[in-house]
Amino acid sequence: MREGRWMTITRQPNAIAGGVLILIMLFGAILGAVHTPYDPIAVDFFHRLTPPAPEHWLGTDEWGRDVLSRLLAGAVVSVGIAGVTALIATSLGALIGATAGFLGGWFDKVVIALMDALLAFPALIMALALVAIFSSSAFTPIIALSVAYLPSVVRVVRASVLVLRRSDFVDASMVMGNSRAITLLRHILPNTVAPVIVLATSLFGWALLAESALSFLGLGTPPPASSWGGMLSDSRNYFADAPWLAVAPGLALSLSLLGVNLFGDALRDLLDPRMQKP
Amino acid sequence: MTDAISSMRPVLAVDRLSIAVGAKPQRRVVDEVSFSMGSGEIVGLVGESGSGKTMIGRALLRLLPPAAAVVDGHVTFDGVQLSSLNDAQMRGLRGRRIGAVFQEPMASLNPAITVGAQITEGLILHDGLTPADARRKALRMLEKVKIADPDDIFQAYPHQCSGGMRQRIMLASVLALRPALLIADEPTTALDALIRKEVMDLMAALASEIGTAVLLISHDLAMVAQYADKVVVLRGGQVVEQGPTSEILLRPQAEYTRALIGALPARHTAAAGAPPAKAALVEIENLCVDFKRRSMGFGRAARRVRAVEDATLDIRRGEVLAVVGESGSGKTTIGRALLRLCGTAAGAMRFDGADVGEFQGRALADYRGRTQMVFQDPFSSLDPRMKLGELVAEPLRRTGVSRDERRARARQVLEEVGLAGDYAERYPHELSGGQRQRVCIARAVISRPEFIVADEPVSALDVTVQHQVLGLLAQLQRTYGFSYLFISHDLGVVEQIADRVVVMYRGRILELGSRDAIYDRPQHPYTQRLLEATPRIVRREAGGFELTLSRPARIAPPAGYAFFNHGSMPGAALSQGEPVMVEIAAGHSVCCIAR
Repeated sequence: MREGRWMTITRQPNAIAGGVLILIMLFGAILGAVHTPYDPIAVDFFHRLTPPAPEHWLGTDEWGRDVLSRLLAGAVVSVGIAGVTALIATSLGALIGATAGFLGGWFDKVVIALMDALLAFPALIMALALVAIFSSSAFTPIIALSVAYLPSVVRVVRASVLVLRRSDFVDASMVMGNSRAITLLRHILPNTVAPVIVLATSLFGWALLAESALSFLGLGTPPPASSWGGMLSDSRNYFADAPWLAVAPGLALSLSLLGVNLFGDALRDLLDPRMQKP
Repeated sequence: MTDAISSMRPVLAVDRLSIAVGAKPQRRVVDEVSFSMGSGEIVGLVGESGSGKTMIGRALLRLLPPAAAVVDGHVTFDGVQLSSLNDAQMRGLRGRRIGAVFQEPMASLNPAITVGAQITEGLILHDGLTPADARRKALRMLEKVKIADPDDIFQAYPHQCSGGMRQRIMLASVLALRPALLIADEPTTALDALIRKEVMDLMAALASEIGTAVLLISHDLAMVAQYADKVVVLRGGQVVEQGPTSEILLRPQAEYTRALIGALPARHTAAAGAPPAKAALVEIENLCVDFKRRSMGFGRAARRVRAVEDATLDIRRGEVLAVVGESGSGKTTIGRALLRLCGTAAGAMRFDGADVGEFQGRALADYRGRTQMVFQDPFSSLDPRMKLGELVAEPLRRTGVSRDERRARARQVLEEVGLAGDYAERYPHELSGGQRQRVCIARAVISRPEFIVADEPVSALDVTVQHQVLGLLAQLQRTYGFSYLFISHDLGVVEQIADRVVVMYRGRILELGSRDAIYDRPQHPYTQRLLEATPRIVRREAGGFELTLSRPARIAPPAGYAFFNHGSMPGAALSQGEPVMVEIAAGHSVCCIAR
């Protein structure tokens, strides 16, 4: 059955394109962590703003730093932050949402009220506020964005748990003598995996964009460490003279987002129960 | 068309009709089917799921699903070949000349339009009546289908009507156009026994009055035997046999028809085995269960609805106690309350002497090890992500049985319910409904429980599969000696399997007694009406079968009492006073009020 599903996904051109873009992005991030052509923060005043050339494939910036190296190092930061954010928001949200939906009662009411309150703030504005309050480090955007994205996961998981809770196989599990915790873990949560995975891919895309936006505004990764948003921000003043400074991180960001969205869409179609043949 | 004895030209003649689905490997779902119908005739099209009966009905309306197509043969309606008509001509025929009633009346009525507008729509479109005339005619039709206050219903929306009312409205809107042919596809399957009888009586009366030919598509052989003039038996898209009802259903020639009728539930005279022990395993005393129904809008308090009211019964060791009643009678709720799947409002439940309501933690888990449940819908009661082996062995996980032992037991119990041990590696979606129900039964018996709640375990299954599953349940009970609480709306099934029967209506127990007492000497008028509404085909000693309808004589209530009546029972006013169960014979009691 599993093989059958992957056969289906590999036949969709969108899914393949998305998958390839994601693989390139991940490869870049891993490469950036292991090895970069130059030191991404090494300043070289003799080669400021050189256009793309064999020794600097993507040129250098106003400090003479190699753009390709900074792009790869930035991938570690941007993709890492987005990935960890998606992971935290998804797992925490799934746990809270599933518990609230399964237990119901006052716990559910409190959770839903809290999540609605969180949802009332636009994610980016709230992240901005949290970053402004706490110091600027790699962890601040992760925590801020995780909190901002938590409500959407909680609501999705809670909704599917509410439906699943009424199905006969959950009653069957209780009748078998399984405790509520075991019923939740063995029978309910695994059946919410499909929508959660799809949501997680979207969250990753949103987080990637939001992290870049925070860095662009100077509230993300503190310099001199590179991130895609920070690189875009720095490039503004030199756009007329050195467009490659903007094009490189901009393209990296856009293509990564495109890849994640394409793959997420394909995944959604694939995991939709209505698409499964009995 | 061998039986076209009718002197008139047939209203409908189906000649070697073949329908296929799929493109490359084309599969014939209907294969060279021929039959004909005269005006006023009711023809039953019977067969199990997959026999192609619905496809034929759709083909007559030229409303086949996109994947299916007529590949051979033709349909002649009133002398005209349907395939020769263009779409506009066909539209003119549908509704006006050929009416249709389907299983789910809610799906056939438009929820956004009033009942009156839906009935008059056809009259204005097809008959060219003025709105005022159409309204008058619609009201007359509503009266004819015995809607109590037609003026109110005319203004109402479909969701404000009950299921039986919706089906009658559907019938009114179809028959208002006086079609020459009515295609009724499982028209009463979603309805309770009493309403089913009403709707069918109406359809038969209107057929003879207006002269409409009715094609009655159904899996319910007894109902077809009661109402149809002719029967066509289908299997796998082919006609097995056809002819007058009395010939086919009562003296079937074909092996398959005989098997089909033989599979109908029937009473087996008490097996020679030992009578069930007298000791009660489960005792329920004055049980009340409430449901909270959430009300619409802010601030309004949730409304409490009493689902079970003052129920007292016991289930003895090794016995099958059946609870019968229509939807909303509270029969399922009793079972769920017993297994602690829902809370109770008042009363006591005891299992083997211990108070069920007191069980907590360890004791509750132990209790659940000794009880099990089989659900109605085998499609939703199995976790779709687990293999059958894991599913079946799950009750053993808690008991500390080793993994290998669990696997072995799972294969063994799967074989016991008639599935090969290899099924342990399969997933639920690979199985048919009957096979899934076997898996559910395997899961229920693997831990050797003492008590099983079976909630409509065979309602979703075809007659022959139902027969096998009932046999399996009985055989397992003989082997392991557990007790069943058997919940069902089907009096035929209950007659076959139950030792004692409880009749419920709107949360209240109306009558309780041994199977023979309830079926042969029903006391309460409601029980009597239920039995009257349930035709049965029984094997005659002389060979062949016969259609029986019980017509129990009305019985005077015990001295000093009147039978308790619920306000919503047709033709009965709500009884005033406190209902009590009065024992009229040993182990046979009826709900009465003191006079």
